[in-house]
Amino acid sequence: MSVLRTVGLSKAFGERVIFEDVSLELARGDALTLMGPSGAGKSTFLRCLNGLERADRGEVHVGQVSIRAAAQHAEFAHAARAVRARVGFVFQGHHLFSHRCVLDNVLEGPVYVRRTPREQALPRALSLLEKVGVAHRAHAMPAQLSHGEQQRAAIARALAMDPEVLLLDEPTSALDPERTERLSELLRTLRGEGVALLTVTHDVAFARALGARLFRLEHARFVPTSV
Amino acid sequence: MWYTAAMILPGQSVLACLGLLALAAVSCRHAGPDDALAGVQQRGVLRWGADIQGGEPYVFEDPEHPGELTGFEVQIAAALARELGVRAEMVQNDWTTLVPSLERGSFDVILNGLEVTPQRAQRIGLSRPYYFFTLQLSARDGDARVTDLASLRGLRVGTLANTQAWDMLEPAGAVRVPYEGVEEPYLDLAQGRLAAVLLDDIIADRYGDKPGVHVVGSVGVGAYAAGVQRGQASLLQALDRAFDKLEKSGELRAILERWQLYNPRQAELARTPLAGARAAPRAAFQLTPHQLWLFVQGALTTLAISAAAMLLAVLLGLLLALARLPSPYLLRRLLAGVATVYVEVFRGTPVLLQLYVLYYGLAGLISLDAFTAAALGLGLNYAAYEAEIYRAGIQAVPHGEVEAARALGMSSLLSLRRVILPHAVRFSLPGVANDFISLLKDSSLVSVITVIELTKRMTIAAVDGRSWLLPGALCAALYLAMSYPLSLLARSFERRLGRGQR
Repeated sequence: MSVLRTVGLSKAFGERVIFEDVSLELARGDALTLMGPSGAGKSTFLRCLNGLERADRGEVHVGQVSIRAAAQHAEFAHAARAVRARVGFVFQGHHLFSHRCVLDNVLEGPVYVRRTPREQALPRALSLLEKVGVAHRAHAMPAQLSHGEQQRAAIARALAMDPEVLLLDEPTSALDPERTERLSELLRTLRGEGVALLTVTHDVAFARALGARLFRLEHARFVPTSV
Repeated sequence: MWYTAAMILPGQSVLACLGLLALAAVSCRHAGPDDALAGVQQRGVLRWGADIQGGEPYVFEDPEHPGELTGFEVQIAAALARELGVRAEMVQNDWTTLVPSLERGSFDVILNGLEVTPQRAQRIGLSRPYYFFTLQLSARDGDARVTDLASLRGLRVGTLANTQAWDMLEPAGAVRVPYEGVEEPYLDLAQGRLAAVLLDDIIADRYGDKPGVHVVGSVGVGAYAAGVQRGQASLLQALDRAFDKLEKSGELRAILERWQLYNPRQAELARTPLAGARAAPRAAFQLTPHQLWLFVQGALTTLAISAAAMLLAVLLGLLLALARLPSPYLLRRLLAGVATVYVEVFRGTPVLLQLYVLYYGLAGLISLDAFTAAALGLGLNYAAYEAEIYRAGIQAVPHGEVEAARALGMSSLLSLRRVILPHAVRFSLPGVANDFISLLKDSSLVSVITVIELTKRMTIAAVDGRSWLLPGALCAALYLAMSYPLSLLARSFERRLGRGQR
């Protein structure tokens, strides 16, 4: 039973084809890593999966919800929102809300999107911060955190929505080897809990440590690889 | 410059007086004996000060020859100049400041419905009268409250500021509403914004025939005379001789008849003493507790109008900025177009014009009281500027955080509320606080729609008390007392923004 499936997903910027006719499937607890040179369009692919960008053709299915590239604006926006509630996204630049403390960043999704009462959402948010290892910085502002801590806080924010799939864009780009090691440990734990991972990276060691299926984005095609 | 600075410091007023005396002595010696008439004749031009806004029949633009002036005073001025052997040249000047402008030499003579009053006679040289008027009290049909001067206590009565009527209304206990034009008070009376209007019969006859408005009766008499600077006896005597000649030859009467101004009163009243001349002359400007209280009231009015206008501007500006956000929907794009037009129109036209249109232009559709119109007019105008500040603030919001909000599944509205606006408002605060300071000063414009705020209060007191330095300094001090805290607030906003959170 797949949690995320793409059918014939294609995207081009003008003449330049970014990816063409991509169909793939992620099962529960599955992990897939996409590699390739910078500027190949890996991030664009990731952003098309949750509707931050619109593909030219194709569909993304998450559970019963589908984002169709050909949909009208209103339908597309509606489907994208439904998908985002089940698919977490961790940005390369983390993009924490700079005007709120770490804990409030994590609470933002459950309290304002899910409308869970704050008291009810609080224990879970704190345990997530514990899990990613930044509980001691819960009341700090994002700017006061190190890059590693920011990355982990951003993961906790995404996890707070209980996603079935986590999309990670270059999660190790700002981390030293020791922190990279701890991040892959965390992601393996999440996998074990049933979260499917789709990671974009060009860190080969990290990709291997995740134990994921590896693909390279080459000439707009997804090529299975073993590195 | 040193004496100007000294005037403002209370402890050094003696020094300041010495300075002014010295200055007066210097200017007297420089001027020498009275050579005013010789000066006029040497130049070949009699410059006479008047205000075109006084309208028909005084001095106004000839409707048949736009750009040319006509009116009974234009003809009198021409006749006087001819008698002096020179030509006449009109100098446009705000009516309320004709006397100070005469004193600083902007023109040689005032010829513009200048009433003979004791304080004027003390201050400048007045010629023999050339017209006798009565003060006509007008009220709305069926308003039994208005019967005579005494009945006006506590009622809103409109007239021109710094006129004889203005002075008469104060002891009567009326709430005086100052106007700069002659049409507007009657419009406001018809609208119900005033209980009565007290103006010269010339004006009442021409502008007072509004529907539902009638003349209650005459409550006083007065005379118009030409005014020259004190100590210019040669010019004054020449003018008096010229007036005598014009009267004897019948030319003055012919001019008045041409403008339907002549009546038997002109011959009759010439022989009776003027009632106004018996009143006690008024002292120069003095900073009494009462005067100070009037200034503080003016400052509070300024503050109240500014605060109300700013509140409106901040809220409406936000709506405008939100309406202009890009959207794929047709209806929203139409709304954005409307908001853009609003911003361009209100930024691209003078706020003074907007106030006139709102208060007088739309009076038939919505009758706003002056305070509401002032706050609304300034608020609508500043909303356009606030909208632009917010727009810049929204553009400065970190794009990544907006995407992060969308990636969490937030709707556009929710991400606006939780992420975009908190940032945008923080970015906008310094600009908004700075605009509030500008608004505080721009609020002086609302005096054109009869609100007596701080600047208007200063003008009235200064013209009354023939001093601009002390009232001006007091006025400036009160503005500073209001704007400086705002300035500090704006700076603290900027500091907080500079520290940043990222």
